[in-house]
Amino acid sequence: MKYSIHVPSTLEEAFTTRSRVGGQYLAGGTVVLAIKKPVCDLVSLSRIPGLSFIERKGDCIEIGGGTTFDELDRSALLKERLTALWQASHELAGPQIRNVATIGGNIGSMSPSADSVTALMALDASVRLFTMEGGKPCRRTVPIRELRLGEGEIIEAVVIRTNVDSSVFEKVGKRNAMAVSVVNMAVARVGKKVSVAVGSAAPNVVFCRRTSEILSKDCTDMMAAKAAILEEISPKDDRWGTVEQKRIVCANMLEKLAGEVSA
Amino acid sequence: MKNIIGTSVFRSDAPDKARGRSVFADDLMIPGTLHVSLARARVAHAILKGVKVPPIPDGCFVFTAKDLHSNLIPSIMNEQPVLASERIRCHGEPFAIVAAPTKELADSIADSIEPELEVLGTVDSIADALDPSKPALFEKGNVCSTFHSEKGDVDRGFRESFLTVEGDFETPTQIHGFLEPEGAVTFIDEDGKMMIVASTQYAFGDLREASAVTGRPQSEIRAMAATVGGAFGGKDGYYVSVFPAVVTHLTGKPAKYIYSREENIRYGMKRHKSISHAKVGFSKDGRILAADCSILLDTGAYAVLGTSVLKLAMEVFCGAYDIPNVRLDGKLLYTNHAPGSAMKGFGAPQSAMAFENLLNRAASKLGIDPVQIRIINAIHKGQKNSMGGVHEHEIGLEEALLKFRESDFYREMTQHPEKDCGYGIAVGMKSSGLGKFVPDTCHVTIRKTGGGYIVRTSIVDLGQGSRTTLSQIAAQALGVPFEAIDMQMGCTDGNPDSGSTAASRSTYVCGNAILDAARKIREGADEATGSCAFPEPKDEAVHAFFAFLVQGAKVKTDPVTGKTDVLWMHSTTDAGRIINPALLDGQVFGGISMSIGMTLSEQIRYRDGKALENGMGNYIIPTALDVPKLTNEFVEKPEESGPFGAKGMAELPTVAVAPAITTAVCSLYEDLEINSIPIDRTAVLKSRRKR
Amino acid sequence: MKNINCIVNGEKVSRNIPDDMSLLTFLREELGLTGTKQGCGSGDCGACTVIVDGKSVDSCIYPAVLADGRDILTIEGLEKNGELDRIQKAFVEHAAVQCGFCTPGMIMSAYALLQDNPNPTEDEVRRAISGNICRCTGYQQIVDAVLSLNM
Repeated sequence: MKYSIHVPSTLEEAFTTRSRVGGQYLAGGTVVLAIKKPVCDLVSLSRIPGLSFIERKGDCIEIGGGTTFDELDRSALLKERLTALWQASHELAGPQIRNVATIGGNIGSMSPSADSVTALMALDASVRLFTMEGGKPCRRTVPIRELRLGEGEIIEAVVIRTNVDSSVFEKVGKRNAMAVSVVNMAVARVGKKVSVAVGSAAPNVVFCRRTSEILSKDCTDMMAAKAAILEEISPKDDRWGTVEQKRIVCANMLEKLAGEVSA
Repeated sequence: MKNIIGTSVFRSDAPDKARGRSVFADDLMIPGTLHVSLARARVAHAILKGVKVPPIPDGCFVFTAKDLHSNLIPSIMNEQPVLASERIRCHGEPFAIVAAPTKELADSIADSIEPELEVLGTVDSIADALDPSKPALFEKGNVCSTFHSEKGDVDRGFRESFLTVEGDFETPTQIHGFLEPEGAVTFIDEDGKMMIVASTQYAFGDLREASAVTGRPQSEIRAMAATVGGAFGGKDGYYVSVFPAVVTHLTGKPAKYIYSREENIRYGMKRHKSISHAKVGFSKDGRILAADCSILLDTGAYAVLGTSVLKLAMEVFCGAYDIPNVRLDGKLLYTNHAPGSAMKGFGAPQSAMAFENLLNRAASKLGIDPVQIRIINAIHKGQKNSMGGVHEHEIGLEEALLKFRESDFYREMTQHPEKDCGYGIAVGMKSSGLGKFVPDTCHVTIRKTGGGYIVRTSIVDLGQGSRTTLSQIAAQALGVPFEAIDMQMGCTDGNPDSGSTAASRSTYVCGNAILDAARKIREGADEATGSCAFPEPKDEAVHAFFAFLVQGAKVKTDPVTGKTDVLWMHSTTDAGRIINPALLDGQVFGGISMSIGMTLSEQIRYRDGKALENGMGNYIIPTALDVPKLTNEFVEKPEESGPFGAKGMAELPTVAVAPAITTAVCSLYEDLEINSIPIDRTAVLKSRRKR
Repeated sequence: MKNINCIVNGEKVSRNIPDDMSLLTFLREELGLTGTKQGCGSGDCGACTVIVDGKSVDSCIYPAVLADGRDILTIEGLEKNGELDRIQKAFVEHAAVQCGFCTPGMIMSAYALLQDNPNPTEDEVRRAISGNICRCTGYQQIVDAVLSLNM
């Protein structure tokens, strides 16, 4: 047996098991069990109740870390209020993957091409993390733009304010389904404040601070915004595309998506 | 009796496949099976000095070249070892066979076997292969074979031309992409014979190869095709089954070897990457006066069927047209890449990318409709082919062009094109049969039974529907219902040698053999053997006859991302008489989708001989959201020598897709020429869109 | 090793299996249900598609131990008393089957779609099978087969 799978039924059990055996968490398994076969123990999060939900809580929408992309795709609430996140969910991979892949797993993969993270960055989402200190459960909520996952931390929920006026997400892949993003982008607007995030164009998903500032001051200043975004991303030549292609596409997408969210 | 030819009879094997009951190679699970893994080189080019085999657990085995009776895979060039013993010529080349009770254990033992290597420089491209300063894979150098043909006076033809167009073109290394990876199961049966059950196009090939390599007499071996999950030329009774066969022969135990998808993508055989150049001269009214066509093909570390691919690519390069002055030049080159061999299209898609694009550019410059320019120049029976030989068999290209001109597609393209959509057309030409000087015969047997007839052939139904089509031919010829035919296929034991299921030959050559046997049955025999030999061209030519297809493509491009979306592909196909229209439509649609992949997204790229692509997540095959509405119609111009007038067309639909799509894309831009596929989105992004 | 109890094609199944066994291997090798195929082993081709608790999944990347307590439907579970179910019949009648290797997974994806949406549009059909690669058919006849089942 190459590895064991532990199946805890609470977050506490998951945390303490992982601390004890080492290894990594297993969310949907679509990344961990795919090309790179695991060699360490896995701690499954799939049997912990209460991690799968999409709820309105005050002026926020909360999404459990164990919510699948299929569930997100089916949410009319999400489609209407947090369109960028809905679009990212709608286009992720293919049906079989969406049925098991979770938003917590997508965030936890720390991949620069994790589509939901781009949307969440633009939406200024926060992540509620579960950890344990001194044997006691402990939670902290961190803006995803500042997220650094600590050892053993579990993504319990994503919290997003619903005051978003408009948001949009688009991904570019080498085919129309089952595609790793060559570049992806999300733009959100709250009043005059515009937020732009880009994925697959840097070692991590990038919240484009400078670009966002420029568009927030003047949402029509496309020349300055494009110049700024090209400074804020650092794409590489890789199997998905060249630097040149990614830069051109990024600038084009910015113009398009900024236009789509404008008042 | 109702005519069954031309009827879309339901496939006889479809119900079992839809139930999940059909038995593919990996579905065979025999107790005591040894699982096979190969110790593979992790460099692309090296002298192999020795192999260090560590101590291995009981019940496990490691075999190297010295354990083989003959370390040579029988092939045209007879140059590929079963196991590397002196030299590594490609990344992943095996140097030892491992067998163990579990696949996991076999893999880990294989990983632990160290080769002693003196690494050599990598011949990593066609340019490298032509560079005399690079290492040579073989004593003869890196040029495996060449092709040259001259007809008329090309230089004079160009001098007389009103317009010449010229270009350099490139097509990628492509994998077959069958959903079922290569593999075989071998065991000793109750009679003490070795049985090979393989995912194969040609069980006799597996049998003869196993015999040659192990030294076991052919009479002591049986081979059969399992249900095959797609082949497209990549499972031609060659290579993979030999590994479990060696294990079974040497241990007496059952053995199983199924390629992982990574092995299939990295190390399996490929479509040859091509670099081509063509110059074409036209008169003012669109007649082609001269064509100078050259092609370079990357055949990787071993040629396998590459020499034939080169010949075919050259033969059809400008072969759809009647051109008085033609020069053809080709080179087949060795590199330290995975071997290139037969893949659906067999060189034709590569050359069509060049010639058909140039023809469309010329049509545009001359102000001639692209269908019209092809009607002007279309080849006909009785005219000379591009090498100088005479076409003796039926050609329906002009009919296909005329019918295409009546199609909804053409009407939309010329009269009411959809906004922001580009349209392009191209013609494809493909032969059937193995070609001149290659023995190409087929034998079948028919035996009368209580309820009907048993027809036996070594042809395999790979998915293309030969079981059904050949049964229709047999039923019609014998005057019985379809259900009265028991078609037994793909097995050596008790079966005649019908040749391989390849080269779009099955319907023609096996259909004719069935007619021959059926005639004898109708004359009173209870049992008969029927034969057919594929017609060989009498003079300058590689193949005797061809099928043709007119391909239309409708596309849209996204100015933000440079992405091309294909919206509609329409084809008009000349394949002689159609035995089963629904099955043939399926062949057309499948071939088109394979080449949509080649045009938009599929490629194997090498870095220092190692493939960048290693899984179906990064080798990009089109999904149902990438392949659009596909429509097809036939012109039925019967080929007299074919069974009920049929000729083969299984590979044809792959041929014209790329030039149709690239032309369609370019039609949306002022200044874009696409010479290389898969299409580079950056080039599209940087082009100026037409108003 | 873990003990799992699940329902497969309507029948209770109980087995003791290694943690690292995929649901695909469990079905094929433990239960002898070889209708579900391995095309890639990485969740990229859909040949291994089965239905778990009503949802289509790639069984090659689904741990068998996590199927404990779940209700699984494979291609073998569609036919009733030797009679093809209507999706299987439609595939046969529309020439949607060529080599047959993608077919079980493709049919299971179609099954999942029709359970959820009995009258899909063409776009919805293509989307539902977008995680199932076919190299033989070009998808057209498969789409036609599924659309023919619209009520």
